[in-house]
Amino acid sequence: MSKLQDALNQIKDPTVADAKTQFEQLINEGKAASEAFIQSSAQQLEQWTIDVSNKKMSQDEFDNLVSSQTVLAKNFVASQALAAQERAEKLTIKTAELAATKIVPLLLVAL
Amino acid sequence: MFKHPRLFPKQSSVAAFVIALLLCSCATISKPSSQVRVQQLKDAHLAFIDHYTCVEGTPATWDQASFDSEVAKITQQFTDAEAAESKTVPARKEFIKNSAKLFQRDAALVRKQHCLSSSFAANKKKQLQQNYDLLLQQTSN
Repeated sequence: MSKLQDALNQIKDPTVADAKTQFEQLINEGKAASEAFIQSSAQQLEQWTIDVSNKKMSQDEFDNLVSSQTVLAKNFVASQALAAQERAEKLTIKTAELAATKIVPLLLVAL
Repeated sequence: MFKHPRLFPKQSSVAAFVIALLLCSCATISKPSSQVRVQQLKDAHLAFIDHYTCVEGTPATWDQASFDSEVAKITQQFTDAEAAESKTVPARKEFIKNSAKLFQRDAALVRKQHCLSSSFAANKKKQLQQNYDLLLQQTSN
């Protein structure tokens, strides 16, 4: 079992089961992307989530990293061809938003 | 008849060599000023994160005046760098503006927590390296 799965398994709330699955899929898709920025964003987001689950980072610190990454991701998305922008946005900004709004708050409650 | 090898080059050759050497050294040593400014912003931002990383999990003695002064100094650096960028490259200006926003977020977090966890600091430095290196690549092109 991966460290990310270990972290997500700490969330027992059944109402977010779909969000957990979706988050894991997006992270894996991002890590497999050919674009270096998307790949790195997914790896970093995974690491931050694991660090929060290990109580190594506060929620404020996690939120800071996510909001900063969103600023950088907006630059990246804007630099992509129009047809590729939706996918790039999904794998960077939307994935980070999912983590910040649904995954991490519940993870912190579960700890 | 025995010929002595010429030990001393002509004056014109020496002059040409010196000029070539000076031109090469200028190209090697002096980076474009925009690149130097971005490098300075990167160094200042990373040093700020290092400065406010908790030592063994506990914050150092908090000095509000020193913190305010450091934030003001770095903020000014960002303002100057943005103003110095040519209007002909709006993307670079925008990038510096965004980097300034990132710095303000980090400063706000330090103001709130007084120190940053070592895990956050490591992740943040990685994020900043990526950001500034991208900008440095752009300025070198």
